[in-house]
Amino acid sequence: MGNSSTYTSVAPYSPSRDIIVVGGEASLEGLYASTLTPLVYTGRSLGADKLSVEPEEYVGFILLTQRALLERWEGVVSRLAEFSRVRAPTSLSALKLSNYIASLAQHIDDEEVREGALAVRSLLREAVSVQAGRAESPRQLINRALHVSLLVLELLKLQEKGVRLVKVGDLEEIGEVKGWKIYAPRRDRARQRQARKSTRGD
Amino acid sequence: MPREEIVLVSDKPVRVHEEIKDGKVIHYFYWHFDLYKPYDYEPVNVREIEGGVQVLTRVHWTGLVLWNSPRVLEGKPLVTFVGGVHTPIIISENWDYYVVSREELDIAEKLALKFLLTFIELMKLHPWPEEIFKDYGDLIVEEPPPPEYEFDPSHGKYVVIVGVWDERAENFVEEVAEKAE
Repeated sequence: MGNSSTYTSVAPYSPSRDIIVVGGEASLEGLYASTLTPLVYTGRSLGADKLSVEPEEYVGFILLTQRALLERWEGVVSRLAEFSRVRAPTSLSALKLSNYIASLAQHIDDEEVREGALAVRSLLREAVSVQAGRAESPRQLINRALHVSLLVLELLKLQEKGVRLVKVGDLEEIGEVKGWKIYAPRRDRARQRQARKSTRGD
Repeated sequence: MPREEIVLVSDKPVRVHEEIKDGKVIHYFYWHFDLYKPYDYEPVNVREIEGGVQVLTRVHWTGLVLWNSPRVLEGKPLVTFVGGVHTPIIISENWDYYVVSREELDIAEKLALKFLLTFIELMKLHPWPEEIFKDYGDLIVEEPPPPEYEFDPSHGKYVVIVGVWDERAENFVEEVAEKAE
């Protein structure tokens, strides 16, 4: 991961460590130009208390490995489960968790999984600001947030195992049946068009 | 009617609920828990069609999965279940896939679909020796699942076709689209 020799201040990557601390001499521009991105994130706003390093140990940027990200997301799921089953969140506890989710989401490199993480955040915020007369109760919103957070968790687990996730957004529309659109992976396009032609007897 | 398997399975559930509706046999593979919630019922329906069989399963309540090229052993399709969440995966001769939907999927549906499609991609690489697939007749109970878990394909909001896209697949999508109207 990355070319640490280019940046002398970058700590050598070790798979056994869950957090990579990048020293302050590395410029942000330099890091963005490196293969380390997009995992770069400032450590302080993630909350030093939530990290396994002391504040003085980092002065620049913190990179989360997939394992670290997964473990932190498991924490999010546990907290949401508590909100769902034990006690409803207060505005403050929801805000804290919401900010934490926003921090973690920046480390999720798959756009669709990140979208899921941010949807969890939106549902949580909605749950504590819900007005009377809304279609969904705060509890229903929390349950939905929990459900989406578990789907995010399952996908992060696959990523942590090195599995490459399929991008639903990359599926390409190739036809239609009774107003329902047919999508298929881009790579099979030619074969699929042929299949569709055969079906229609063209 | 004798309790008979409709598929062979790689992992045994706690029990299998049998429902016969409009002449169709649906087996619900039941576990006490999936990852996070109690009561996990995974329906499987085998459809006999001209020239073979198809298998119909459900993903995330609103997704229907039609396995159009199942591998068959002793006349029965082979099923494995994704660890933890128990989503049924039918061993297929062809792992191409197509997604058919009538409207934009919400985020939960999109993530569930992403999970399923990623697993289908993984399945292409995995060898599935036939000897691991077993019967489960001793686990069948002639009792449908609770109503909220019943499999109603008319609730399908999207369909995943796994295998070849042919006239049989297209007919199925037309059938679902007509029921949804």
